Amino acid sequence: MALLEARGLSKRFGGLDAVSELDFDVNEGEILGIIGPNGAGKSTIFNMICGTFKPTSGTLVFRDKDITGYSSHRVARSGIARVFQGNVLFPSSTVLDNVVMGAHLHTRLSWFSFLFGGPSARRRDKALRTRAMEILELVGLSEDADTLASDLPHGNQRHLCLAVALAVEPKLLLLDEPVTGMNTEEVSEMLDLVRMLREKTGLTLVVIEHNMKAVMGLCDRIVVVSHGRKIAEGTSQMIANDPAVIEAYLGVDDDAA
Amino acid sequence: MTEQQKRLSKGLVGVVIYALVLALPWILRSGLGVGKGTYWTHILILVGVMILSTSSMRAIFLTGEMSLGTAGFMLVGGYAAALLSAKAGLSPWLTLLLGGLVAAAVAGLVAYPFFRVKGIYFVICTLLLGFIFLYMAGYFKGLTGGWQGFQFYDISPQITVGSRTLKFGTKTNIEYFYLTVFVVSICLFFMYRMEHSRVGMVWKSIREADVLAKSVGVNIMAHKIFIFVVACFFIGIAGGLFAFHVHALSPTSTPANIFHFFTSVYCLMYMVVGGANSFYGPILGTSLFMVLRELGRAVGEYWPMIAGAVLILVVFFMPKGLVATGEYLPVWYRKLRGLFKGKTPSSA
Repeated sequence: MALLEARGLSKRFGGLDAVSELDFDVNEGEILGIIGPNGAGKSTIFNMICGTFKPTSGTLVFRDKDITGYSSHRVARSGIARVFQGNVLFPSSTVLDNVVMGAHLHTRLSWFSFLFGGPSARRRDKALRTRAMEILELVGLSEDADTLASDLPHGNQRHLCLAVALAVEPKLLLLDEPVTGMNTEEVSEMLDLVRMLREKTGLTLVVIEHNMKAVMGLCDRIVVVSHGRKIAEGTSQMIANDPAVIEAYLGVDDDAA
Repeated sequence: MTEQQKRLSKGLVGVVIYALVLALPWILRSGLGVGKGTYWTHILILVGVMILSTSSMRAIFLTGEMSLGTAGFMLVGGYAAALLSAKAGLSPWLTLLLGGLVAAAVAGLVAYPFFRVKGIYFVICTLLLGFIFLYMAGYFKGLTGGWQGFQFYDISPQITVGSRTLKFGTKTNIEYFYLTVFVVSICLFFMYRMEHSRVGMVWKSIREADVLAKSVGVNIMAHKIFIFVVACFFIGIAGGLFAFHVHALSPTSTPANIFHFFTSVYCLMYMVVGGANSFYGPILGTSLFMVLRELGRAVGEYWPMIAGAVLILVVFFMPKGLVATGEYLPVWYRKLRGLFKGKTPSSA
């Protein structure tokens, strides 16, 4: 039984088919890679899953529940978190506050304590902070807990994005280009972190990435998208030798290559 | 200083300032003579009303959206309170609250469509809504008395204990001043608690990165509607306080009218000059600006020009507002010293 099932997923922007008739499954516990040339519609797929865009047609079923066209906060509530492409953070909050904010769905306060505070709110806040510290330790940022998020270097901001998403305690985590703009060392650090997370928490991940080496090494299965259509699916070995994939990336003419 | 000592000293400063505020009418009377003291008490009541409006406007601003409909919602609250008392005969105590509720209900009606847009488009929506209220009050003559406005000098909030009656709104204004301080304090207390509890953190997250807030499960629309409705409730109460103080309301389109759009702009200015990042910013900004305005009556129609110049200076040299003066002074001191010693400011 797949955790997330996409069937006939399509998105049209005016006359442009950004994504058309896409079918794919995300199995529980796996790391699925979505790759494709620029403009293939990868981010659009994420935006449809997360409720930023409503699909023009098709369905998304997550844990046996139809989540097609859900708004972003309802998607998060059903257990899907997302790490954005750029470093989207709460810039003028501390690193710790960023993660505490990520745990919004686990606030669990009465409406009165939520609005006006009080002893029970303080206790809950303390518990959330302890939990946030644990997550920061996991991603290796516990020493920077009191730093402003905007003062962190790029690589660490990326880790913090991950920490904020983890605080949602999702079943499925979507990573949009997790290693862009990183040097080789940072890339391998990030990949180790993602692998470790999967082992420790049993998280299911979907990764969009341009860095081929990173995707090939990380993902159990890969879906290749070109011009909004799925052109191949399988293990990295199968993908690397697929003529359709080579054509999409390198073209057929000698000139285009 | 330990955390506890800090809290204690902060509390002490608060108590002293509060005591000073309560003693203000007496200080002014003894210092300036009875007649003038009464006039100043009147000004202080207006300052209280405007502090409440400005703070409420800032509460909306905490989610990153700017409302310029402040004066409009004051009008709704003020007219609702006054009309319900004058025409339906309800007690001013009740209508003060009802005025706030009517303003909140109106805000609730427009909030969803308004928050479909963000930023400058939201500002324009609220700005025009303020004008709509103003013109409605002018043209719905049968209900509101039209452009001439209407008076209700015989209606004031009052408390009767046994045979004695305490009427808020006598010639000396002192009772009404205390009523204003009381009501404004309660409203500010609730706003302070909200800003410093979990919901305040959620507002901050919306202001800083709404996309991320959404993706961690924050229902942005619901939170924006909530704070807009609550803020407009408080603004409506401010309007009611104003109404029972002056006992005469009109929708005239002169900047001197508190319900005119200019009031919204002034609220914005008070907030920015005082410091939009701090809860105390609007309180400080409003008090200083309005008192200065009274002291400087001699400048007459040049006032908006001076006020504008002050605003520009503050934006350039104190972007955190007057509440952060303590932060700016050492920096300026170092820069000045550097200048006199002939060094570049950066090396000082």
